[in-house]
Amino acid sequence: MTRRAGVIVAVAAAAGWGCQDIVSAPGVCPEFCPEGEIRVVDTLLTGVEPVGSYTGYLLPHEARQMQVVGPGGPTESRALLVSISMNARYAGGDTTVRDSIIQTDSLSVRLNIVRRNAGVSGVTLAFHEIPLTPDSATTYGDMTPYFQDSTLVATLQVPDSLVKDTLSVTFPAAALRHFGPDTLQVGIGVRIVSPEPAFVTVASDTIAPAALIRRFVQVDSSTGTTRVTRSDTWGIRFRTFVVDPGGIPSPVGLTVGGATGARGFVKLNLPGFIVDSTLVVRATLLLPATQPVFGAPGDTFSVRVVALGSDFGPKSPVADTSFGGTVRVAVGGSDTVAVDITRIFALWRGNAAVPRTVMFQVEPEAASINTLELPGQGSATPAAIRVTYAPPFRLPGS
Amino acid sequence: MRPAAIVVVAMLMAPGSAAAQNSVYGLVGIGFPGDPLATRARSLGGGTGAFDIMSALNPGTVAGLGRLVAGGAAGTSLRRYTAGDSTVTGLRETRFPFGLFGGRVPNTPLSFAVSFSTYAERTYDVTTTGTQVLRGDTLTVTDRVASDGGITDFRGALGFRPWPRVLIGGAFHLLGGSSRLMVGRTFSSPDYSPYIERNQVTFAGTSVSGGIVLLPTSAIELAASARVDGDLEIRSETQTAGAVRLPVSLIGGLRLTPVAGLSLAATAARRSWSRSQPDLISPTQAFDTWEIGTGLELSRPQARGASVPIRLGYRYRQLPFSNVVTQPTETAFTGGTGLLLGGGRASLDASVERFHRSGGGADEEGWYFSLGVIIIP
Repeated sequence: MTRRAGVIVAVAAAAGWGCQDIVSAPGVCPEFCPEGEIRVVDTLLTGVEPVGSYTGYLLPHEARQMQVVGPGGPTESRALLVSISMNARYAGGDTTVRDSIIQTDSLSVRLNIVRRNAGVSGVTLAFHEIPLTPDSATTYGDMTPYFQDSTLVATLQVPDSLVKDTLSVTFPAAALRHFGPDTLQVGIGVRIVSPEPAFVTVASDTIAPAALIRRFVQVDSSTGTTRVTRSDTWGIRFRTFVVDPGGIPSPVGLTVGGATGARGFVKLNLPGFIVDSTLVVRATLLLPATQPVFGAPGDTFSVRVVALGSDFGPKSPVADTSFGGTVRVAVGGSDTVAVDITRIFALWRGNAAVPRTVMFQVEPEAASINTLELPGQGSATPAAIRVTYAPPFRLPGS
Repeated sequence: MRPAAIVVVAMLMAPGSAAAQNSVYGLVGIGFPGDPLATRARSLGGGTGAFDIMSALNPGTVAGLGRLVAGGAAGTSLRRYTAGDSTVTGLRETRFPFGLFGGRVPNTPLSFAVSFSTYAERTYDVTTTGTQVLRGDTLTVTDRVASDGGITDFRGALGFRPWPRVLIGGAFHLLGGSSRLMVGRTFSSPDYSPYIERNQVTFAGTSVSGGIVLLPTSAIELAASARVDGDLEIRSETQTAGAVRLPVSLIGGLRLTPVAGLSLAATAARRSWSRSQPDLISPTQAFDTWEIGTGLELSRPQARGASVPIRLGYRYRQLPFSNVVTQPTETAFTGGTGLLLGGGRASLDASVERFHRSGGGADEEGWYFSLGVIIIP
């Protein structure tokens, strides 16, 4: 290759490689803006069709939390705890003592409180001895006879400053009439005594167990010459909470939440062009209150909306839950609940196979008495959707 | 490998697409109109466009192709503009706006040429800020509209010489191409999701053209051509936008060669772009355009046939689209030269243009550098 050709090659290559495109510039509208228009339209859509409300997905004894609600509010609820069967021998793991229990002195119940209503003082937890028989079918009425003065084993003042912590109460083993060598289990019911309406929410899952029972016992030292006091700790076999049904108002619309963990299903009859041909930048489901939000006085709770993957009725699988929306609702409120469902529209866009049905549930489910009621069929104040969307960019010739 | 061939390979390895330089005036309508001109014709202000065998303006010139020939051009523009209170500098684009391959059809009196050129360029990236009232709140919104691509004119032409002093040709054009459109808006409130609409916009259309070149004397050449463009269909992935009517073009040219080594040429074109007005979105206006280019070429023949010509030109043209009632215009002073390589089997042409566009509230100026190569295998 000649020297001249080399220069030419370099020039030619530089002409291409040496220049990167730089075309970004601020627009001066309307004179020097691209043809077409970015439009964002806001519209209110009706066509929210209540489908139904169903229960049975999760029961209170399976819930992640338990809510104890005191008197003075719309209703009361109580927690029921049954320990696992304790070993007849000391199981504390201290090898310097013998494991034969000479005497059980006392028991301690430690509750894992995760929430309570602020601004209420003088809240007391009353611990009653209850039978060891509660199960998922046990009702508030079944347990009422066991929440009498005669069954009271201890009380515990909830510090006014407590928001989230563990609380322990200790009582003599003799206070439990049915705890003994033959029945090494403890059944404890918890209710609230408070001058004002109050509630306490107790954690109830494997990471944060609802309660632990600590047993204080007298045992001999390994040499047999000295009697010493030791303790061992036992978990909970069954825990649930029961609600007084008398205080629960009759549903007017679709019930969501409550101790039964009800889920509400709503079908959204949307114009196809909005879902499939536009970009929704904000979509808000507006749920007018049919009656004041029912629940524990002073509490708030989360309501989650998720899209169904398929519509098979109550057992419909949900679609990707990350596309859902969540709203925090205050008990006693009568305002319209507005929940953002923009991401659900993103899921639906261009996906005609997914039903336009959403499911409402309270989070955590079946863990409280808190209930949201959605407008039902024929409601005077039906639900609506406010959608803000961008139609496709208009091209020349259109 | 011959040096000229190496040049072609080097150019083809460079990035770019079949499109021409963009302009602030290319934001509206179907884009900024391109020129089907080779580098030599560009350096002459487009004055020889109606006569240039290596350009695609007049299919009559195809009849002058006696041997196989291939050529192409690359171009880089550097520009700045002022629009309203906004001054934007440092804009630049590099493109391959033109390519042609042609020659004699064996055993016939016909010649052929196939070529591509930019019909309209639709590359821009514009950001604007404004306000919008949504749900009772006044929000600040930032919009971005970006397009990358253009409309390409693929031409297939046949020409023949019924008489030695007459060249006649006809051509069929396919308009194609696409642009990647990105439209987005962000809101000052986090309650509103920012959105981006991405779309592949495709273009399709057909045209026919015919032309003639007359050589009454060795010093005078006359040329004329006409082109009728059909509708440009615009489609996107999400919508069928419809069609935009394209213009009818009439082109005439005169070239004088009073003495050997000196030629003067002028080409004028009239295009009825206003036909597209009903298909455009308000407030875009479409105007008929005049385009006049003149050029002067000085060359001193050398013993071996090689020369280094000097080319100068001036071009004036009206631009077809505006968002206001004022029609913008463009003027350009051009210059260039060329170099024969490989014993005349290849040539390298270079041109430079200083352009100025104005009208409708903007003022744009810049440089356009073009490098073209022609190979005779």
